[in-house]
Amino acid sequence: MSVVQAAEPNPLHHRRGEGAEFPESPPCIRHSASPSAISHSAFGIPHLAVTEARPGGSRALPTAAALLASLFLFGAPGRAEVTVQATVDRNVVGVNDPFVMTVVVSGAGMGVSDPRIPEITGLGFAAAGRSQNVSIVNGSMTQSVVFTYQVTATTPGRHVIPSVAITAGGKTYATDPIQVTASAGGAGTTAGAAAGPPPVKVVAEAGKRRVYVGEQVPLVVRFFNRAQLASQPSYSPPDTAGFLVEDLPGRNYQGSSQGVAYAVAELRYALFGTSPGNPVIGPAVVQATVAERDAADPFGMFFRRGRTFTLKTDPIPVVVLPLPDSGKPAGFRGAVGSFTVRSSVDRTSVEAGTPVTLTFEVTGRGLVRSLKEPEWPALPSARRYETVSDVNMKKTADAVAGTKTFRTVIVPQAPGKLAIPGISYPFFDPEARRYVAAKTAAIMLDVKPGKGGTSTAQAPGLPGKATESDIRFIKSRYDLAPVAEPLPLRPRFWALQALPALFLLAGLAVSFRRRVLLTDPAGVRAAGARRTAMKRLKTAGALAKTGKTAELHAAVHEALTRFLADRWRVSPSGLTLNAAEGRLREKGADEELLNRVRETWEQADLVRYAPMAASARDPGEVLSTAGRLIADLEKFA
Amino acid sequence: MSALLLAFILSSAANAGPVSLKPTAPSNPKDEFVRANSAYEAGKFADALAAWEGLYARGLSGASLCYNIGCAHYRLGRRGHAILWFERARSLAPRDEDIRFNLSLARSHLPDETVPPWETFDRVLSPGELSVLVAILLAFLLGAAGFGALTGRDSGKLKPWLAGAAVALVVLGAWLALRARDLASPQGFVVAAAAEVRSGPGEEYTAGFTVPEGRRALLLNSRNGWVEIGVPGQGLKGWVREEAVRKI
Repeated sequence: MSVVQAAEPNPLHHRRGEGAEFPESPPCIRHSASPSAISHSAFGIPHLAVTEARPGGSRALPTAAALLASLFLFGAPGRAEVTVQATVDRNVVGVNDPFVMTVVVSGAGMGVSDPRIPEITGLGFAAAGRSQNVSIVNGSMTQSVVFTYQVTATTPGRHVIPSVAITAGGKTYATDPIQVTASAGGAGTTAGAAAGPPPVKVVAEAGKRRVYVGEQVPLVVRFFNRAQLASQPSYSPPDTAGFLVEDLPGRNYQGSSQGVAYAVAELRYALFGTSPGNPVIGPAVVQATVAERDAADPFGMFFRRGRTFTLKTDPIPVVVLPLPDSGKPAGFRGAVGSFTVRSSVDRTSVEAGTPVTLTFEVTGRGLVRSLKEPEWPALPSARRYETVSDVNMKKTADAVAGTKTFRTVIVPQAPGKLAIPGISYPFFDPEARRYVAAKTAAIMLDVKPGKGGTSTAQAPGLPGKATESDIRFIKSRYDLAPVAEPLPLRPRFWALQALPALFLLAGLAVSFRRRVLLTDPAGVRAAGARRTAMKRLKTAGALAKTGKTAELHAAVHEALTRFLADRWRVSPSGLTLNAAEGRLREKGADEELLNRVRETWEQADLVRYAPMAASARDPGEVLSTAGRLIADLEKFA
Repeated sequence: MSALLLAFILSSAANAGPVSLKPTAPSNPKDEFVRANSAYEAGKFADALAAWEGLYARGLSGASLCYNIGCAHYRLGRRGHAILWFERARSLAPRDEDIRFNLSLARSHLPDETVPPWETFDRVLSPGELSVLVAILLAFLLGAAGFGALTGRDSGKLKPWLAGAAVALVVLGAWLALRARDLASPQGFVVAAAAEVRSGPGEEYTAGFTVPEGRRALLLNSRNGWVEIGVPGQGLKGWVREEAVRKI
């Protein structure tokens, strides 16, 4: 038989340095009312269970949907005999030490009233939930309703829980009285215990309050929850000024506090005091909203109210002691913890001038990440270069451990045996309260002659990278100039690159015009007709100054006729005055303009063939009149 | 961020070296340069360095000056500074054999130093030379095209040259773009011996790893006397004290 229980509470996750939320969904009650939620036991008996938790509430609505579904699917419940039974989890308790009383009503599902708990001096009752189980065996359904109470004895002595009356199916049933003995020795400590244990609480606990600089202070923050949360709680980690902090793996589990079952989300930290003093671990803050149901609301299962709790842990003062001066060994570089050391080389037989990697490992418990490199031994016949390091952390639930590896390159300079002495690494062991000097074993290198016979001609760096052992000499050439922005970053330089582009654009424009001239000469003439006509008139002006009246009028005639012919894209030789008048009239020219055209045309025509007929008109006036006429004709031509 | 970096760069330039030799009045730069060279030849490396850096602080630069400053730092055991100045010299005179050799020698002291294989090729031309080449190719191509359009002549025999110039322009243009990007992104070198790189800008943050003197670093951010650096090729990032790095 399987029973759907209230969901496990969420684990406590957070981000350091800021308020964070508990990422998983809050504990909730899952109602397995739908057919798909029906589970089967090993015996193939379908079993449907409805579990309902109502912290702080005394009246609960049965899960109507589940029951209706079960009734619809499996028919009416069997007619079983109704029995009512009350039990406690223990009969001997402490004062203010809560214990659990359970009232089970078997054989009845619908119409079961809440038990009527009488007022009892010395005992406090708090309803902890009501659950309803439905079992279907061979098509016959049996139901039971279970009421759970947290009971607390507030005075020592013998107490009797009297009969509890329950109405089921219109009948009233009563439980047997239960005797409980409360002793003063088992007192609870939580505030408000008489009114029942709190639904949520948070507690911080430091494993040590008095440590040395660099010694670990284990810190645990536990979030206790036995309620249904309306939303994900937020968490602000404690202020840990004065400490270096490493996060340790947290966990979630079912636990208890003062006899009350809780789901516990646990966060763990390792704190390391950075300097002597009295730093205080600040409060961790959890804000959690506990869901509350409105009993009068039939939709309370969907729309819940919430009560928000802001929970803070107590500040924890810590005394950070300085490391003792007495016994501090030479070469101590601040390592605190418990460590072992190991050194190795990547090869023991090398040629002179060939690099060898010397590795030094520090492994143990402590703030491994901050360990300094060891004091490397002096090697007169070898060169040593810089050190690089890497860290491999291994965190357990209560400690920071790991390995820090330092690597350096040494280059033996002369053939023979090269002894790398043991490397000492002193540290302070806070458990033993003394300094310990761990030391590696010595390493012997067999150095053979280099390819050049000696090693001193080799470059001090990695072989093959250089063939000279020293830098080259300085330069005496004076080439100083004001510091300038690099050319690629100067906008002016790139602006100059527009010049060739402009040249290209000009070329393209010329090319385009040339192509137009070749493909549409009449169009080009039409576009430049007025300009051409004005040029002709200007030329005619020069003729007028020399007294060549006939030539002047001939030029005026030509300017006028060619202007019209070019604009109309016709041959000037075939253009007559009548034809011109006709076209102008079609284009809307008025009579006044036509008269001016006719007068100018005929006058020019007359004079160029009969110069004697030239009037006494000023040549300049003739030209300006013709110019104005051509300008006025432009919109009709 | 750029303002902070600028402040950092300026302060780096201002505090770039010792000040044991400080001229009281500005002298002829050439005389000063020759005098510093003489001091170096006499083994007075610190004096020579101060004089050369004084010239640099006066807004003067040149491949010889940067190279000489690098030599002086090397002699004084400051390999990080030496690499920094040799790099500066190489950016001005990329094909100078002495500069390349000294830089290679200084870098050979670095453990696990890996030089990208393309770097030797990449540094054959300086950014300025690349820019001029690109400008010439651009002018040649656009000019030839413009001239052809202007005169209406067919390019004819010039066509293979124009095609070659176009390909060269694309290649050099891409190369120049990459170099310009490098120039625009602040880079520097670690100048402190085994700088501890921390997870945040402060001593209270844990030291994750150390970076050897002379290692190239990207300068990413700056805050309260700390600089965030990235170590190219290793994917490492963290904060070091401002005085532990110098911008190229």
